Amino acid sequence: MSGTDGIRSDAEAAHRSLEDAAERVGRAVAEAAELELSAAAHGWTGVAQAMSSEQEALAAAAGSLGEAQAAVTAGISALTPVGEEPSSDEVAARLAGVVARLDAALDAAGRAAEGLGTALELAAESDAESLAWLVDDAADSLGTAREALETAATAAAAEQSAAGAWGTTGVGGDTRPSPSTTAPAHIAQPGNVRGPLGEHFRPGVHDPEGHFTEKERAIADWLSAREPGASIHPRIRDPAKHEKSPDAMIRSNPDDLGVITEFKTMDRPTIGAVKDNLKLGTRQVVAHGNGHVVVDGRTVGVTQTDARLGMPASSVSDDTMAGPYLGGSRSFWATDRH
Amino acid sequence: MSEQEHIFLRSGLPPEETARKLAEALGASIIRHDDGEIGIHRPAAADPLRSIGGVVIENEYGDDDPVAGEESVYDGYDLVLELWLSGRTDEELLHAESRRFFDEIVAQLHWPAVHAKVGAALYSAWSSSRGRTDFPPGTSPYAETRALWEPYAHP
Repeated sequence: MSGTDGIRSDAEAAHRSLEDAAERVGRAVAEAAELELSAAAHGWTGVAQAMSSEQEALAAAAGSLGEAQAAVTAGISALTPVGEEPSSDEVAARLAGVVARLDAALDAAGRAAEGLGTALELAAESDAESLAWLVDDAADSLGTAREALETAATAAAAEQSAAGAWGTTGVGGDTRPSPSTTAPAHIAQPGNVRGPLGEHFRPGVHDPEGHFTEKERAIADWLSAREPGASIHPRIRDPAKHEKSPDAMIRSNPDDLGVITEFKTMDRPTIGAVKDNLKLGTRQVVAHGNGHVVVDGRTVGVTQTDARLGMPASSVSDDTMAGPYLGGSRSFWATDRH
Repeated sequence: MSEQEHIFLRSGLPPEETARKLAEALGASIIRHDDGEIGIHRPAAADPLRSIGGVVIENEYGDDDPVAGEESVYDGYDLVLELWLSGRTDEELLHAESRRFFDEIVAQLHWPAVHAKVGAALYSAWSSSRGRTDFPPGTSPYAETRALWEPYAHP
């Protein structure tokens, strides 16, 4: 089993234990609600109040368990097997992302444990034995999850450190330093966070985990062929977050902060489709402040003339249609504004 | 997020109120995005670790007053629910979940609605007078297939 396989196995085990804990917390909430109703019916206001507090503590624990599960899921997703030979920089950056997510999961699991501790005390003080057993079972599952998370996080940090020590996996001998666990966010996640890559900058398309779809990769390769000095990274989308997220970050040199870029592929060679694709792409990048939209019309034969006719007047400027990414007569590059 | 599908609506309500009614009908949560747009989302039926949802916005697509030959089925709709999946792009899952949204919206809210992929495809439409039509694969939302979608163009 490779190091990455071991991390995945431990992370998946942690996720299953978190699910068990969440299921038991759900049953404990139902039990506490039932006890509250029963106590109120008998006029035992103290017990009813304790069971109300019990439900609040359990709800807080459940929320933290959900956060932990989401973070583990994101960490597992970031471990997706590579589709090509990655550089040491890319492997280390990917593992830095995994470590960050597993650390976030551990933090959330710690908060869940605190909530369960409170819930257990309340159940004991109220002599609610069956409820205490349920909470204790949930705490056991959570303990198992935390152990597996610790193991996975430690292994991921070790793998990251080893990747950083490879040193010379790049074409022509890449001896530049690799990011560490304390690397700035834009180094650890160059596709998601704007910032200069400096000595980590490397031209080309960097997608060892295959985040780009086939259509997006075709656009990235087209851009890279026309602008060989550009560095293109996919933006990695967290399945646990329903956020707007364009496709890529493109930097033209080591000092470039990066331009958020949305890729669109035309399915129909009509003026209406050109207009709508530009609107779609522009909406994505404007949601992040600004950016570029690259529309690929090659597969349906859209010409530069079609593209010009489909572009709103406000978005046409000298460089939108004559920029460095605008090469062939059947592909075009457009941006809403700079 | 480059893959999206769209459900065009004519609810007669502003986006916020429409989003709240959609959330109630679909069992979804309300979300306020950083740019101020309001949206809804819920776990995907086929993969609960991911979520399906999107924003409810004024319809920016199509054209209020299109020139001849550049009409689209959604020109006459005032709102659009722009849908995407969290996580990695998966066009098949997105389509299945979007279709589920459309089915539930027309069954429960009875608003005129069109399910499409802007710039690419028209899937289904519903109105109280015409009922539901599922269009053949490859149907365009633009003028070249106008004869097919015309009955749903101006709800």
